[in-house]
Amino acid sequence: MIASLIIAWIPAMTLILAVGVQEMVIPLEAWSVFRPDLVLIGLFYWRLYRPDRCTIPLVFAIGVLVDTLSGTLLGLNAFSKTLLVVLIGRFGRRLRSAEFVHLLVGILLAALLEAAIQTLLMSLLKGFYGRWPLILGRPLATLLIAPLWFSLLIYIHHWWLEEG
Amino acid sequence: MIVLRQQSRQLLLASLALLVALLLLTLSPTIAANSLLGHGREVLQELVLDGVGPLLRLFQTPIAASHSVYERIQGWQHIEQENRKLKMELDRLSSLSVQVEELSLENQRLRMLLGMRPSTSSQELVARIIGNSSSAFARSFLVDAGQEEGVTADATALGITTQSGGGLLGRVVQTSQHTALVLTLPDFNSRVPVLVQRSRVRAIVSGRNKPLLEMEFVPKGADIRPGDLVVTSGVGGIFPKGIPVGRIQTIAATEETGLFHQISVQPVIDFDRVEEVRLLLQTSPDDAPGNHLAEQATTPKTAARRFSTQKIHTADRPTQHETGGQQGTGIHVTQR
Repeated sequence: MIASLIIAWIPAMTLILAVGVQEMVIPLEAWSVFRPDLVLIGLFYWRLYRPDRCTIPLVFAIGVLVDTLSGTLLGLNAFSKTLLVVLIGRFGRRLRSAEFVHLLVGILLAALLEAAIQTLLMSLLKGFYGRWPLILGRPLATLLIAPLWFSLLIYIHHWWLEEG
Repeated sequence: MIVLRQQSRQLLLASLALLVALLLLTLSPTIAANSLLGHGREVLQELVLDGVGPLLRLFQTPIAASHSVYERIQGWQHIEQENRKLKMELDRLSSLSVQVEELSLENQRLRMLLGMRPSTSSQELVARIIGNSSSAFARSFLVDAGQEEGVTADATALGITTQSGGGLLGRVVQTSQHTALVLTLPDFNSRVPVLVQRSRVRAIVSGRNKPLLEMEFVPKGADIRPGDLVVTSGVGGIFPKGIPVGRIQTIAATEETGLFHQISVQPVIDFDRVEEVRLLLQTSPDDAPGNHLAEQATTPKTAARRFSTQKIHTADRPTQHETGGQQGTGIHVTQR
């Protein structure tokens, strides 16, 4: 009973782990330009392969968590990530059986779209002040780290969710 | 039929979530802190910080352990040389502390003669950085000290790095039970009233989400030079006066910059290497550290982390005359 409850929360736990790693383990200033969005990769994966475990309220909560921890405007990540997850759910079905390279292209597009949404919102609300290397560096870093993070998620998915 | 119903439910949920996020985005900056919504937002942020603090500490532990092992190995190589250097430094500082005490007493006497309002005293608390959120839009640190340790919003945070010494890091913007969020100087929302130490020219230093800070509102023709030290001016009452902020790096005065100079400031603190912060906990003059330190330090851990510049504050404590002659406040200062 408890084990099945824990297993049901595994995607959420991997997303919280991603927030922790993203905000804590790669905190050096030198890496801020190339800081990957591990949460986005996690959302992309779980929304494609286990949409029942990656619900809209969970995505919204994860977005609020990122906003609170990063000290940015409350609602920025909650909005962009929820919107992305809706789009992934709507157009991502074809990607489920696609090759890994195509998934990587999907992740890059999602990361670029998120950067664009956030930049647009911040421009409208606060006036543009984002640094272009930071805005464009993040999707690139996300793309580079995606194979590794995806492998970890596939492993967790198969060994814990499917076997469990 | 069921699939359609599920899809419309998903769509409804998504629309609701997006609407709430948009409301948060647009209303969040305008909500007054003392309103019901503002209070709700603070409670939400506190809950998140409280929930995530232990998790981040868990991540931090192996990193800190590996850092300390590396530092220890490095330290062994220079331990003897460093020991000698530190002894010399200690000798120098002991004589300096006597001078500081003398100057403080003199300052107190002069304040009395001028009838000046006593300055607020502050205690210090050392906290470790457990979260760093530098992104394209925000630059803040999460530290492992909160309301339980006496940290309040607007507490000044000073950086501690071995390379650059001490300097202003930022201020606390959000607190929870055991954690606090520090807005750093390079954050876009950061504004610090400063003055140039040499020429006493006043200005505002603001963050631009870049390594260098920008100094605003310095009119053309003002007496400033590259290399000048910029310190807090104390205007606004949030930051105490005289804390080093940075050094002027470049000065531009073109037609495009209008009436003012365009000045970039190199922060004193190396934000790449800072691991601990010193938080200045504001206390009222009546609330001098010597009187309440034992009460406020509820746990031995807190007591060990908190320290006060007691010698200075004892001298800086107001006399009964200055505080309106209140009896029984627990303040006992010998008038000299």
